[in-house]
Amino acid sequence: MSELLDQFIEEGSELLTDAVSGLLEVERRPDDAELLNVVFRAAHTFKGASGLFDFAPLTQVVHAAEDVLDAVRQGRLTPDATVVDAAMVAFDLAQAWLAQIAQTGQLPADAEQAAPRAAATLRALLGQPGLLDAAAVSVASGPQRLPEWAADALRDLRDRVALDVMDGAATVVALRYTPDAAVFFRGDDPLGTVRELGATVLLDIGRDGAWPAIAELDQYDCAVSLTVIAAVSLEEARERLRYVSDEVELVEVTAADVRAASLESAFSDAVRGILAAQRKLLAAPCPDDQRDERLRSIANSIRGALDSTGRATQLLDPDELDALGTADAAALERVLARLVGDQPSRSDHPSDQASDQTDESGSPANAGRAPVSRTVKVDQAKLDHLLELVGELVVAKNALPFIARAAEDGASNRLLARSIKESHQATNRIAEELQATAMGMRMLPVGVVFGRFPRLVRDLARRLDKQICLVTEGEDTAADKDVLELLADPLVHLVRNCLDHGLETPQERIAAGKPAEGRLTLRASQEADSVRVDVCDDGRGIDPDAIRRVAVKRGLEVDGLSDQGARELIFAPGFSTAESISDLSGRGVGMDAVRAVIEKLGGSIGVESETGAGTTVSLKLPLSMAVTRVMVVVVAGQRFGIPVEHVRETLRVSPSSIKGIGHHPAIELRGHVVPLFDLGEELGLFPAEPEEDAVRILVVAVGGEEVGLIVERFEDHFDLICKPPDGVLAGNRALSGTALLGDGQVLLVLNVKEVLGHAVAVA
Amino acid sequence: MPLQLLDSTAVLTGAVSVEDAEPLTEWLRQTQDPAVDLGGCAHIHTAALQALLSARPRISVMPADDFLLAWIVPLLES
Repeated sequence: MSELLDQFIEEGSELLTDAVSGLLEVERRPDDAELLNVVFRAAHTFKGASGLFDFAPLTQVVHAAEDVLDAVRQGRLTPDATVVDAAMVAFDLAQAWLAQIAQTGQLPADAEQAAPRAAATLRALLGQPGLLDAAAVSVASGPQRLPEWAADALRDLRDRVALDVMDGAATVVALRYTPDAAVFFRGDDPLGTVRELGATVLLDIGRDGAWPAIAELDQYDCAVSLTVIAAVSLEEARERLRYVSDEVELVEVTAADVRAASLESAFSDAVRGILAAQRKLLAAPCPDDQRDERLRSIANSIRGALDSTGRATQLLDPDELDALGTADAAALERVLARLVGDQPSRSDHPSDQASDQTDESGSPANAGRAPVSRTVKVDQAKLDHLLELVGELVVAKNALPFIARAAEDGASNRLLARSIKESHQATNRIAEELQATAMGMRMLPVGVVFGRFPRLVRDLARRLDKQICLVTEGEDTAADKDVLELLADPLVHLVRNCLDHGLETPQERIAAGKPAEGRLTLRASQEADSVRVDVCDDGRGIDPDAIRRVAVKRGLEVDGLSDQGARELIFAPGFSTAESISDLSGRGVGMDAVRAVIEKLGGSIGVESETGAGTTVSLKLPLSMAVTRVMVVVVAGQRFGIPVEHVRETLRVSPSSIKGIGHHPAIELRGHVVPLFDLGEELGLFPAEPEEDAVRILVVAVGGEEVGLIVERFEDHFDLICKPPDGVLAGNRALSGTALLGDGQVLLVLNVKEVLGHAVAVA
Repeated sequence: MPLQLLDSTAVLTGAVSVEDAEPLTEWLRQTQDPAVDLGGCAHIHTAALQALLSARPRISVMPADDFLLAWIVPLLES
């Protein structure tokens, strides 16, 4: 992909994000002209930039949105929810396409079809025509489905050319091309475009109002519109016209349309009267013995009436001609219904279509999903600092040859050792600072993630008929880019849950004596080495009794379970599938999935709730995942790393203090019973051989429970750059990663929870 | 030369372009009872056509081109 395209994707995505967040503000402050200008400029800039590439549908959609915004800016349109929705849907679409371009370098295959529809929706707000989606329209049949101009054109056709031309062609399209006034300056020749389309069956050139005298003609403005019927396929027409698709309405015309149109023009009132009479006759009761006779006579009358128009074969399709021959009552009714009657089924289609479209566009699931950006903006001061450190490193490195020479010259070991230590100290300081600076470059403010929520909350609130005010706090809290990216999905899940179940409808809230508007707070803060994100609502809270009832139904033991314990059951796997939980307490939908993701990131999740007053779900995640602090232990002669965040303490106990509780060894630690597992055994290695007098135990916390691991030896703590396992190790869930130790050895870092998962469940 | 502007007849030859629209319009404005010779004309740019549709000149020589004959001549004569 070219650098220019990369830059366009990066900047375009930002512009679209700006436009959407601006729109949300516009909805709240519709009178702020400057705000509107910002959104308009973002759309305008994007449109301009997109024109550099061959992404006509992308340009088309954003252009339409820009026109709508321009109308709003000029006061011709009020920025109500419909307008804002339509513009946001357009920006979302563009954003999604941008993501696709970033991945594949191309627009998705359906973009060419989707763009005109999206543009038409927008232009409908302006009362302007847009390219109709012919595929959707052609579901319906009969003259009603065609726009009036196309039906008019078809009626004209009768006088100009034989219908046979059209009967022979596989597909026929009708189009109305209304070029922009400035089209000549763009170098377009509308007539030329139409001509190149080929296979013209009808061409009419008109203009708004009468032709002016030549003296008054403004030859620089294009004021004509062209109506064309051409015997080409819809796809071909679309392809040929794609650069002017904004200005073209295009529909497919079927043989049935041609027949229907010529019907209208062919029927004299007399013929119509005969046919209507036959239809009445057909419906009238009739003695059985006269039935066949009557049907034949009706068929003959229809035939005669149609023959009088001279075009019976064009007005009826072959099946219908057959029906006249067989004189079957039902078939005749169908023929007559089409010729003179109304067909209620036709008018049903447009509304179906409309609801389909809103469904598609109204889905907030994909709202604001920007392409995952692989670039980070870095403050130049940080880059300069990095360069400075690199300079220092070069100087520090140059000290080493001097030490080597001193060694060759036979300097004393003491002196050498001192020089090496000094050199190490200098390099170490630089390395540490380099590390901190590099990590700092990966830090982004949490606001980046929060940014998508105003939109999500707005859309969901509208859909659920709830009034919700979103408050975000601590957006400046910085965390590693990867952590933030991974945090986004669980947060979306929590917010949706909260809106869906936690917060009540305005009526319920007023009944409970609360303000009608619910409050949802997203709060980020830093706590030691982690970032904490709270999702708080002032909704109905989680009712522990309701949870208990569900738990009992699921066969869980709830005796002696505290209220808090009951609430935490919402994170239990399997609880999520209980439909009743979401109805009763309003939580528990997929919470186990959220917990799984958070724990996989090395974080934790908790819930606090007060029935009737609200719920707070807290997520805690490591600030950065790049450096992991691990404790190294030796088991069966091999070294393994265990992330320090799991380690509670290290113990040396005498073998006699290990007791068998049930069938399992355990020790008593400050009044708690801590079950013991032999790490070597759990890893499928041989068990540790305890020394005579002492057993070494590493106490770790797994899912809130303390568990003791019997190991052979403890070693040091290390800060490591932990890489996820790849290759053949990738599938091994017991490993959380691998790291290189200073002596060149590879250390396997264990995922304690997975290693013990099975054993803990058994115990 | 796609455009030859004579005393009362404009001879359009080949593809008449957008650049020809301006002189043609000017000529149509100044000429009494203008006529156009489309005999050798292959295409007329929309801008020029727009002028012709406003001025409605006589067609002194019908175009040989099928498209012009089928679609443009009827418009100019209507």
